[in-house]
Amino acid sequence: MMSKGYICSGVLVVLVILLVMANLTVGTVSIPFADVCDILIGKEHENAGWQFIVWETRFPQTITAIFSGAALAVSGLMLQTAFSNPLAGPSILGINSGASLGVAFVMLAGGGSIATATFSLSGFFAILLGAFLGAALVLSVILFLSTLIRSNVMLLIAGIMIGYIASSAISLLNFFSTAEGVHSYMIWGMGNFGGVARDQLPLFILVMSVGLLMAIMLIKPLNALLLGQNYAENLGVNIRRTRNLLLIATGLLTAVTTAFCGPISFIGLAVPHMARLMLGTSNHNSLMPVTILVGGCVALLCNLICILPGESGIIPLNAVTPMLGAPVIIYVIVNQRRIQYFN
Amino acid sequence: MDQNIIYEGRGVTTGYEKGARRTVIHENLDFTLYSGELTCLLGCNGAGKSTLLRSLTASQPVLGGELLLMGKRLEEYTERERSKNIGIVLTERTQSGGLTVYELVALGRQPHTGFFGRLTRNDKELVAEAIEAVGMKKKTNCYVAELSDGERQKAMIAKALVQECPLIILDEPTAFLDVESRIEIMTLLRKVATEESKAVLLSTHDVEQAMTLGDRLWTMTTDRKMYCGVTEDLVLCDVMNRLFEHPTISFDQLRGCYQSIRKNEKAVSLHCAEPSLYYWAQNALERNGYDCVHTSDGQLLPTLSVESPDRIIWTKGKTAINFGSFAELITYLRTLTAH
Repeated sequence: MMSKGYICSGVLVVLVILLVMANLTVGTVSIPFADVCDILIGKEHENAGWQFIVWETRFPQTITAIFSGAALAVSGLMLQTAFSNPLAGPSILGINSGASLGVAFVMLAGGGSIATATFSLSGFFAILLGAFLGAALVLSVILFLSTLIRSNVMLLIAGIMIGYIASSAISLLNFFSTAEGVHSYMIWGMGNFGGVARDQLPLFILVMSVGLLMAIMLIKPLNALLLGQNYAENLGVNIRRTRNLLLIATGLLTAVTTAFCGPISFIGLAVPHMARLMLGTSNHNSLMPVTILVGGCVALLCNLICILPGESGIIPLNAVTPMLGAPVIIYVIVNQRRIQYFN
Repeated sequence: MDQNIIYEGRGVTTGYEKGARRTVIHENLDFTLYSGELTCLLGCNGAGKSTLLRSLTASQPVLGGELLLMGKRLEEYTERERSKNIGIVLTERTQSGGLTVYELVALGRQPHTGFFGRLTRNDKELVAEAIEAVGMKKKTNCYVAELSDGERQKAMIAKALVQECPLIILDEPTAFLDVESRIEIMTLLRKVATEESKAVLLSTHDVEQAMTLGDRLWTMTTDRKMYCGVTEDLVLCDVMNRLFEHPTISFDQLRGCYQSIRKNEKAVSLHCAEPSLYYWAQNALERNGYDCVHTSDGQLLPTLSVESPDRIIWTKGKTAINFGSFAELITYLRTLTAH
């Protein structure tokens, strides 16, 4: 069982490296692969433009894709285990929408002057904070509802309803906002891994690493939670503390990703299933690392598809993720009788 | 064998407290659990079995009284200490289908493992032993999803075993199981209690199994009391009759089971060669409207003598009829009633 985890991880790491190279090579300006390698290993390249593109645009975008994919996937995995519901995910439970609402509030209140792409430190933090508060708010509401609603399906529906409420609040905000504000919000809403500038990258990586590390530290209680709350409690898990940590980690990962890259759908929902299907286990010891890697891979693949048209422009990210994610979910639902972790 | 007191309750009051509203279910309960004994908690639905079990595992607070686990007050235990002293098995469905039996049982080691739950060689040996002890060795690497209900229950018992707790509490471990698995699970639990000298407490609706295999019974009666004691004492003191409050259901001390009270108008004097023949002949007669009496004075009553299952003789007055099976006898009795 362990060896399967190692094999999967090995394959995935190779895949990540290949996809990183592809992401760095493809784009609006075609730069030969050899030159990309030269620039990456730090050689001074005669074409300063290429060097700028690789380092200032493509490199941050690629790194952002890896971390965002991993973050959303891990959030999805934690939510699925915590709610004992294989169809939970940041976008389904409305956490994305909550973060979006926070962002919309900040952006539209700022009348379009605040956007992640334009670098002003205070604005950037305001957006981050808005996203986190929005995500945390929705998560707390869902958590509270989960104590009232026993049925998993009903809880999902409640989550979807909360997502709708957040969306309609956003529409209202849009109505009262300036044209610039609406425009920058709309662009953000399409989803884009290019939202993190080069000088924001270290901070982005730091925050994401904190969230991912928290997730990894929750592996043991997450495994206990597979047996349900009562059993987990009997195994010495402090339920309240674990829930709070799960809430903070999920909120942080989802909020930061959403703030920078927009509300990205389906990665959080579908990737944990891909990882489980690959490994054939719901044991988080191997599932957690593999989910992180698959998340990175899928996000890189999505980004690659987005930038494939080259000179003619960039496809919105949220046009691509459902194409990859939805079939996985449909496959899982259709085959749920044959898939062990449903039973 | 030396018997240690594992758990003790003094003047325990169970129930719920929600704001100012206080719902008391049981008051002033005294009980003791001993190591090496299988204790069965009996009671009808809604008698408060689960409430008591939840109070014992600290999943819900008691409203009064004192609970002493291994001589120390239950509240003084931290979650982790408690998890090393009480192992539980519940009826609820889990999301563990994607784990192998080995991984599931290994989760029971969590109270003893470090931050990441890595298993030492000792842990692995314990897990393997527990799986063997519940007779699941062949299924070690099977997914939990592939197991039958009985096998899942056995895996959960193995999980409780590796927790290495002196006390295992099970909430209706045999519910939803077929007869075969029920007996298997109860026998397994009895083995766990005696061989590993653990205290095992389980709630069940299966009165017959509880009476044959349980060392002690805790019987929750309809008057909101709980009688604790050795099975035979409780049975012979007529406690079992108070388990249900139903005018037409009573406990048959002789057969050790519950029956609906039948008022038969006719009687028959029954003589059988063996006790088992007597038991089943009586069963057949009572079902068909005859009470059995022991008199040898067969003047007024018809007499039935059963020498073997295919030699059944019905005598009334001077006529005697031979039957080759109970089916023939019953057909005859029905023709009598029809007249």
